[in-house]
Amino acid sequence: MSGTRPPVRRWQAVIALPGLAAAPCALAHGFDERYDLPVPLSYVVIAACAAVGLSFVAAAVFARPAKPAGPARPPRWGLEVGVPPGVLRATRTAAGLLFVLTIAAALAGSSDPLMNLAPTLVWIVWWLGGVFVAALLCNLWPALDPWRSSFEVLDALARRGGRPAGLALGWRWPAWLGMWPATALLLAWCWLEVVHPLASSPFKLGCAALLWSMVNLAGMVAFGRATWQAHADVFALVFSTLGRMAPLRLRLPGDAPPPVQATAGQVGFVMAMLSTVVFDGLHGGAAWNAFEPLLRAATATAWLDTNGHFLGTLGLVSVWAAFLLAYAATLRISLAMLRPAFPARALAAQLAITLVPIAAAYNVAHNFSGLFIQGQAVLPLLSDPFGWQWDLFGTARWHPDIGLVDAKLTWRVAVAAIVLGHAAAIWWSHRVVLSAGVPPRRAAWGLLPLTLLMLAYTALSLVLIAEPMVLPQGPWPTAARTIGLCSPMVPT
Amino acid sequence: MTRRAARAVCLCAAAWGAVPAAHAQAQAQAQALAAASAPTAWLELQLVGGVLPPAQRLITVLKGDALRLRIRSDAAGELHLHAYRLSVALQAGQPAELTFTAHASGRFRFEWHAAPAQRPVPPADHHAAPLAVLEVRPR
Repeated sequence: MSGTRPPVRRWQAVIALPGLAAAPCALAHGFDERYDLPVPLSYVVIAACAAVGLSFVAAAVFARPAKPAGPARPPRWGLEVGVPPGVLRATRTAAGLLFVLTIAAALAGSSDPLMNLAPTLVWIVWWLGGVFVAALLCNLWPALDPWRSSFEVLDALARRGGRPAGLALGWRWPAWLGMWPATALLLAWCWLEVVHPLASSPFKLGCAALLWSMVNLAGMVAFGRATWQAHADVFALVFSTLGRMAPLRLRLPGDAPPPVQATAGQVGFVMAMLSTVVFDGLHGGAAWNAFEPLLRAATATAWLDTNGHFLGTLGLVSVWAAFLLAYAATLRISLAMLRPAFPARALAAQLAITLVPIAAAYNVAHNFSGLFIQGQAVLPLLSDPFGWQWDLFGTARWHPDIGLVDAKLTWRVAVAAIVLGHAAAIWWSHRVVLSAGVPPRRAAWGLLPLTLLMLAYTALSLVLIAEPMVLPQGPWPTAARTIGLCSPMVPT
Repeated sequence: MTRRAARAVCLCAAAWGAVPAAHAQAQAQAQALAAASAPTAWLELQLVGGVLPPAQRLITVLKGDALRLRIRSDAAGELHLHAYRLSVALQAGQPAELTFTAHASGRFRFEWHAAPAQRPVPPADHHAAPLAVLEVRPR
């Protein structure tokens, strides 16, 4: 037995991989593996300095009365792109078919998450890819959303069938409830992704998707499609919230622009968008090794925790609560200093939206290599969605190129994203405050507390991608962390 | 407007197609270069009961390094480096070799899959500590 072995053949992978399906996901996601190396300290230091410098430059620039105060409404930008009905029909049909295929693969296909289309398509292509596209290019979800299109088809049928009001029952959405259901669902979704090993079971994933389909359609029927999607449909809301920073905006027939007025729970929702990505980084990285004992000591509930899920859940909720409390407190100080001309609650909601670039940036920093390396697996999987040795498009034997994204590129993208996201958030918050009629100098001073908080978030995201807390608790000793081979070498 | 957007989309799609092709070419060149110039690093791994001594559980190399692993185990099984799609079957007490170039940077796991006779039920947990971690640093 000597010499180079050929790459693992497909049938060998079939034999070797079921172990993955059975594995409880203690670290990272249930079925994918992160190959990221921690970002070196020099990158982190440079990025942190850039963030601090940019904050001061922004403050100095905005302190000058260069901009006339605008009307009291949030600034909007982005080029509107109209979608012709024919194109819309095509995209929705394609997305609908893909949705059906995914559910079918999840329920009937291989139980191995790497051989089944559903996990990769849902977690990597749709969720990660959707977040990237919505934030950086355009929120395409309204043109794809299979739940929305199936509701609209049913609605149109009902109208034709003699119900002029359509399917919607027109229940009133309670104002106090606001976006809290979507916030709870976002935390639950992150829990499924990070804490619970559901990600590694295609069948469970399919069941969850069916359950959500029923809830989603029932909600649309009860409250009307637009109301439901603006308050409880967590995916529509995540993508539309990220889409507010995108350079392009889709204009669909009969679509209203996102609401300008404050919605209860909006701050909580944006904080959940931020904190869930931070928590994913924390839980997936070595930092969790440091965080977990703290949490364990603080709660003294080790006896409750039989499978690690309890502490994971507690961590998820407490990171969100900490983010929300810190933001709420800082916002109070800022609002008191800003003294805006119109209700402070409306300004608070608009200011919360300005944190979206930070959430998007951290997503990019955290998932860039994952999207481009794990995401390649979708090509072979589309040829063999059920894991039944099909080869529909001739790509079933194609293997992801793990060298597509070099570690240096990942580091640069991560660090640049975090710094740019930070700068964009500061710029946006100044714009919002100036359009609210606050004089420039007061705006610069009043935003200082929020700017400091954003710096803290930025520092935290940098720390998490740098993993300075890799503890000897891991399977390997820190002392062995040297460049070069750390084992006895045998001369040739 | 729509036409301009469509053109931009086409351009992006073309770039998307061109990137992997260019990358594959660059990678092949880099590999050829590394194979020609980099000295082969020899590495001796001795598994006892399906584990390695702590000092060998992190292997750090630079991208492009040529590696030659000589592996010995006291029990039969397979050693996998899943990300690189490499595997080597081992018989108890008989050394085996694994030779490859560390062409992709990142942090990768060596997994040990004991032969069925030795395998405890249930099968090895992929999220438990790996046999070893290979860190390939960029140059």
